[in-house]
Amino acid sequence: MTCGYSRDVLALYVEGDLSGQSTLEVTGHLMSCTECDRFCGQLQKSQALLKSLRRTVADAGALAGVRRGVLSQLDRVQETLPWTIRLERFLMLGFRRWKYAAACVVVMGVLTALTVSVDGHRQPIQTIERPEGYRGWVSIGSPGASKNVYIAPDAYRTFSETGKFPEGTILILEDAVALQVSVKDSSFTGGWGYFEFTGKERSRTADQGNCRTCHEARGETDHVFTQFYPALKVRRG
Amino acid sequence: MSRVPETETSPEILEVAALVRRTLDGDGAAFGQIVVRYERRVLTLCIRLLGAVEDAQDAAQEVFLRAFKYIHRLDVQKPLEPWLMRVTINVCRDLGRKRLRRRITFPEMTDPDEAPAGESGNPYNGLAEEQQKQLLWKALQRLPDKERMAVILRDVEGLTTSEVAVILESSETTVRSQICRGRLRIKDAIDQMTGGQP
Ligand code: HEC
Ligand SMILES: [Zn+2]
Repeated sequence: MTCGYSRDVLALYVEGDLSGQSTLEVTGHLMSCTECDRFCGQLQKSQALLKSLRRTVADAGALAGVRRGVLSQLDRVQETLPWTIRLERFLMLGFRRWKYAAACVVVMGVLTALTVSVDGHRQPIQTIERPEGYRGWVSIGSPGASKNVYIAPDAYRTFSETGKFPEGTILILEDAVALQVSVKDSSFTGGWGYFEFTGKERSRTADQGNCRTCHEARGETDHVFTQFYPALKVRRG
Repeated sequence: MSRVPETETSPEILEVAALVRRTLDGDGAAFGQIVVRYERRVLTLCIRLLGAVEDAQDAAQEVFLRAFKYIHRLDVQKPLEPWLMRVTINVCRDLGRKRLRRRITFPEMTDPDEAPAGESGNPYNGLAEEQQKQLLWKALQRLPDKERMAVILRDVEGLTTSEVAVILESSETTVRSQICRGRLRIKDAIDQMTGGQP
C-alpha cells in the first residue's frame, strides 16, 4: 500500500486473526486511509465468496454410497494387509499384552529393516536384520540334533485356528551352524522370502531361489515342512 | 462437530477409543460405527477440496480404508478427528493431482447453520451463481497445495489456526502466513478474472 501498510496484516485483520492491540491499530488506520479501507472491502468480498463454500455439504445419498463402499471392502483390506503392517500391529498391541513382550524384542529388530512410509507405500523387503530373542517364541519342533524351529506367537495362533500361515508369518530354523529365516510375504515369488545367517552378520538380503526350490517341492503345507512339526500337526487331515 | 474436544477424557474420546480397540480385535461393525460418526465431516471436506462429488466419494472411501489399515497407529488418548482430517488432506492431495480435469459440480445444499444465500448478502451480484463457483474454483486451484489446504481448513471449515496447524502438522506461524498469502492470492485471482471490477 502506498501508506506503507502491509497487505499481510490486512489479510489477517479481515478475519479477526490479529491480536486485540493490532486490531485496534488497524481499525484506527482504516479510518484515515481510503486505500487500505478499500482494499479491506475487496478482501471481505473475496472472503465472502470463499466462505460460500460452507453451504456445500455432503448429502445423504452421497454419504450412503461412501459407507456402502467402505464396509464392502473391509474384509478384503483386512485379508490383504501387508506383513509390515501386521508386524507393526503385533508390535504395538504386543506392548499392551505382556506375554508377547519377548517376541516384540525380535520383531523390533526385523521391523527396523523395513521401509514403511507413512502413506503405506512400501518397497518389497530385500533385507532383514538378524533376529534376536526368538527363543521366546512358540517352538514347533526339533527335527534333528540341536535343531529347533520357532514361529511368532500371533502367526501360531492364526495357523492353529485356520490351518493357514498369515501374511507376515516368520519362521526360524536354528541349528549349530546357521539361523535360517522365512517370511511369508506375497511380494516374493512363491509367497515366502528366505534368509540365512551363518556368521555374525547383522543383516541379510533375501536368498534368490535355492531355498525356495526345495521348500516348494517338499514342504507339506504352503512350502513349510509341517510334516516334521508336531505342534502344527493339529490341523492335518 | 468441527471443534476438537479440549479435555483429554471427553466421552467422545472414550467411545472412539473403545471402537478402535474393538476394530483391532477384528470387529468390523465397530469400524462401521466409526465411519458413521465421521463420514459427513470427511465427505464434506473432500467435496470442498476436490469439487466433484464422485471424486469426493472415492476420496472419502479411500480415507476410511486407509484409516482402517493404519488404525493401530492411532493414539486413542487423542481425538480421532484431526487425524482423520489429516488423512483426508493427504488422500485429496494425491487424488486432486490425478483428476484436476474433471468438471466441478458443487452440490448446493443449504447448511442449517448458515444464513440462506439471499441476494443481499451476495458479494458478486453481477455474476450468475454458477459463474461465481467457477471463479472461486479457479482461484483456489491457482493456490499452492499447502495454502489451499490452510485456507479451506481455516476459512471454510472454520477451524482455529492452532487446530489447522495440528492437522497440517506444521507450526501456527507457518499456517498464519499460508492463510494470509492464500487469502491475498484468492483476492488477486478473482480481481484478475473479473477485470478488477467485481
Ligand atoms: C534340500 C532342501 C532344502 C533347502 C535347499 C532348504 N531347506 Fe529349509 N528346510 C528343509 C527341511 C527338510 C526343513 C525341515 C526341518 C529340517 O528337517 O531341517 C526345512 C526347514 C526350514 C525352516 C523352518 C520352517 C519350514 O519351512 O519348515 C526354515 C525357516 C528354512 N528351512 C529356511 C531355509 C532357507 C533360508 C534356505 C536357503 C538358504 C533353506 N531353508 C533351504 C529343506 C530345505
Ligand atoms: Zn493505508
